[in-house]
Amino acid sequence: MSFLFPWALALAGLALVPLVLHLVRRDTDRRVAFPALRYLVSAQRQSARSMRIRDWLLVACRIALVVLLAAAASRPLIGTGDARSHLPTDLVVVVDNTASMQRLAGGRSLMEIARAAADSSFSYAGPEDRVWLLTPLDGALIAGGTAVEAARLLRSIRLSDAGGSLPASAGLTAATVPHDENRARELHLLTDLQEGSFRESAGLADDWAIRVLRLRPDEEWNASVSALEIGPSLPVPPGVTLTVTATLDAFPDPAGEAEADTIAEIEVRLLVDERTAGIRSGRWGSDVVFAIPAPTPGPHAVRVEVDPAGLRSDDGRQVGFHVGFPARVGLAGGAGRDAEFVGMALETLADDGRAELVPAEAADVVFETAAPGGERIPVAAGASPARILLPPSDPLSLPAFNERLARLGVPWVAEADPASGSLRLESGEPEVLDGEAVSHRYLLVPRPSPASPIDSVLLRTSDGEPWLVRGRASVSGIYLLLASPLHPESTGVPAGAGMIELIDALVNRWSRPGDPAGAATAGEEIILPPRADSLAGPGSPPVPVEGGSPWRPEIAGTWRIALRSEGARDSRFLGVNVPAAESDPATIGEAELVRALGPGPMVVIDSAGEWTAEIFARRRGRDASGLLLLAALAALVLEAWLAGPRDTRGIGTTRAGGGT
Amino acid sequence: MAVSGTLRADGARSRPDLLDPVFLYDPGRLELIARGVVEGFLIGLHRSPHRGFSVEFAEHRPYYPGDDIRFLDWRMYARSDRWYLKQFEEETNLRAYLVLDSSRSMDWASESMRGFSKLDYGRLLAASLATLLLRQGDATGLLAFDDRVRVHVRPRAARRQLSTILGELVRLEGQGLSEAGPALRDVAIRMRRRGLIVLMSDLLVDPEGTRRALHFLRHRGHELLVLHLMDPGERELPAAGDAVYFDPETGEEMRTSSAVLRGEYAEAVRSAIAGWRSECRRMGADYHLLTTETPLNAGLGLFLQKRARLG
Repeated sequence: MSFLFPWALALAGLALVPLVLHLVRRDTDRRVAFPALRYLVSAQRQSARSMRIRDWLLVACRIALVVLLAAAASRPLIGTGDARSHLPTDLVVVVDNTASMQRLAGGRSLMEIARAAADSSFSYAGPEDRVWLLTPLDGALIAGGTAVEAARLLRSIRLSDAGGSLPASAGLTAATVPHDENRARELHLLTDLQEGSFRESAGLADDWAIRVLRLRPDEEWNASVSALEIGPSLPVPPGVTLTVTATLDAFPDPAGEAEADTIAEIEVRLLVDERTAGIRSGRWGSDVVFAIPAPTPGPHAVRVEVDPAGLRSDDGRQVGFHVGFPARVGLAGGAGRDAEFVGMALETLADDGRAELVPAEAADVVFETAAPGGERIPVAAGASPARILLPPSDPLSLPAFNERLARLGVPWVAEADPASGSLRLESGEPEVLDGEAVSHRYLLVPRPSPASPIDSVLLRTSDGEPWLVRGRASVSGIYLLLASPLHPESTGVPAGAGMIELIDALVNRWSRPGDPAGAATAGEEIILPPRADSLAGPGSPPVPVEGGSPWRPEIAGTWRIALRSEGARDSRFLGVNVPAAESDPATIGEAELVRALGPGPMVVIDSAGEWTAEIFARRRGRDASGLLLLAALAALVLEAWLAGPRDTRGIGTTRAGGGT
Repeated sequence: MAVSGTLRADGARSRPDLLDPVFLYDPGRLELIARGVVEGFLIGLHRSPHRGFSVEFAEHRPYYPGDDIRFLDWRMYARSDRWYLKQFEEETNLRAYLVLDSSRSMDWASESMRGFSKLDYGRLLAASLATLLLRQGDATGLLAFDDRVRVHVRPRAARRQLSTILGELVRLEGQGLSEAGPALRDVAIRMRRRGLIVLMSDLLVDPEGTRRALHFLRHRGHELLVLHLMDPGERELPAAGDAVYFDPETGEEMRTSSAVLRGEYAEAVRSAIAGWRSECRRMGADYHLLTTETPLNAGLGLFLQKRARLG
């Protein structure tokens, strides 16, 4: 039991008043003349005992009356009460809109059920509550708003083909919710508890009450095209036959009630540019290989699909590729010893059709060496080529190199590091670089400026320092910054087998993120090609975009990226696929759920019908003041009955005096 | 309501005996009121105040509905085919003492009676009885007492007797303790011939002494009519809450609440009334309870019943 106004209980002290009055009134001096006193005496003689009882009952009634009124004024709250009657609450509602929520339960998607439950949460919230609404993909749609606003925004949440981390989203948002002793904090998590969405930890404090609505689909097993690879590596030279390898995976029902028939042959279809190009038989858990003989130059889209099973959006997987148009690469900054090995590697790539060497001014990707007096590609507004920045072999040229970095807007500085000694490259891509020796490298130190969203360290040395950094400069666009000159005196890479693969990755993959791969994962951010002009999603019209800007696709399917260019290179296809983790229906257990969310009191609810009975844990209980007022009224009636009329006039007069 | 109010007002104008005594009472006009009461009362009886039914025939008068059919003259009916009543010259040898308690307890009125005390009611009733008795030629006396005899008017049938009695009644004041025994014994001593004694008292007296005195009167052959006067506020205890209640006569007091004792009080009053009624019946006296709101015709009627039995 709790009280809304506990200080009002102090009024119960007034119960002493009737007691004192009772004792004082025993000495009342009000005198009433009454000649028939003998009858009164006789009456009292007969009822002396009942009179005493009545007296104390009267006092008890009066004390009870005061105590009951004081108790009623304190607004006592008893029991658990309705969900609507709760303490002011900071409510964080996380609606899972990842791909696995597309699955159906009773003809409705899990997402629709989650949305309805969230709506219930908002309808039970009161005006004193503050509401945060978020999804793992969109972040917070509203922060500290009203339930009405949140309910309106709830309708804007759409299902996605992406994956996401519910604990991470909840944790980030919860960290912004201030702790207030007078307010409850509660997390409502509406999800299918798919394991892939709970790989991180929210780290909620133990004062967070956690309510989880566990949604179960009708069909809990799943099968998918879990991977799709095209060989040889992109971009594809003209006249080459491509191989398409699709991996088929089946996932059993987590409850073990239904399993995929992994023995039966299934039909696998290959579609190239939306036309069926091949049909094969396959089994779950195996790879199916298709061949695409010498596709015509230009952009193409490939999709491999199977019949619907479980989650629909992972029943097919797509990738875009283009034929005959390798990266156009140029060298700037002179052709000294720093560019010698790079030039040789580029020529090799050019011979293999994987790069086209062009003057730096016309290139998509430019290698800039730090040779003094060399040419520089001017920094231009708008789309710029990707720059691969190679540090100088001569430390004396380091200041000029750093000055160049600063002019390009690259938020890093190279510093001499004579004490580094012999180092190795850490494992990464390409794998052939793993363990390569580094004898001379500069320390790459970030400038104290806001980092670009795509700043990342692609390779490190064994002491953990960055060796290859990629980012988007505020002035000049995408850059790749190496910590060592690509010269055998500095590292074993130029003389090793990995040099060609490193240059291929630098030119064809890392310099043009989102383009060469031809595929992306829904929910993961990519950088649009520098000359990207517009985007057209599956079944939707093109929308203008800015080249080189980050973009996060959420709808799986084949997207068309239009480029500001001429001829056949006017577009790219990008296959956006459901994250592989979304295909696995395995769910997280309650113990893991506690680890993922936090130690606060948690209730996992399996039925949407029971949702409103469990939400808003810190309830006020039912207001018992009405009952107490009724009891006080009863005490008052009893008191009035016992005490009789409160007429204080005399009952008669006598002319001889003494009447009152 | 207006119609019945008008009818009641008209009836009250001709029948003061039916009026609430509270509205009727005015000490300065006691004689006038008493006459009005008696006249009205007798009109209601359809009887002549000057003709009795006891001794010698006087004349006939036409029969009116309500008349006693025992006095129908059947011979006149046979001769004339009309109903006539025989009337007789009245003759009296009755001596009546009106004994009125004038103790302090009698001078008390409850709130609802607006100051109209039991003593006031006793005055009015005694005046009316005296008027009625003297009109019939009965020798009528008055004795008022508290703890001793305060007023004594010897019974006479003289014309000025009424004025004497009424004058004493007007001057009477409520005082002293109630001691009915000595007063009644005094009456017994003074009244050598058998007669009618009408005791008007609230009977808040020494019960044993009073009973003995009444027995003594009966033993002497007197007829007794005990009119127990009570204020309505004495029959049903009014609400006065917690207070110190005191007897204005004795000064005795007790601290209590009227609310809780109401039931027991009513029972005590009923028991006392039953005791007096039983005692009077046993000794052959008539006992009647009159509250001070009872119209005076009731008291007169009781008296006439008693008087009729005496012949």
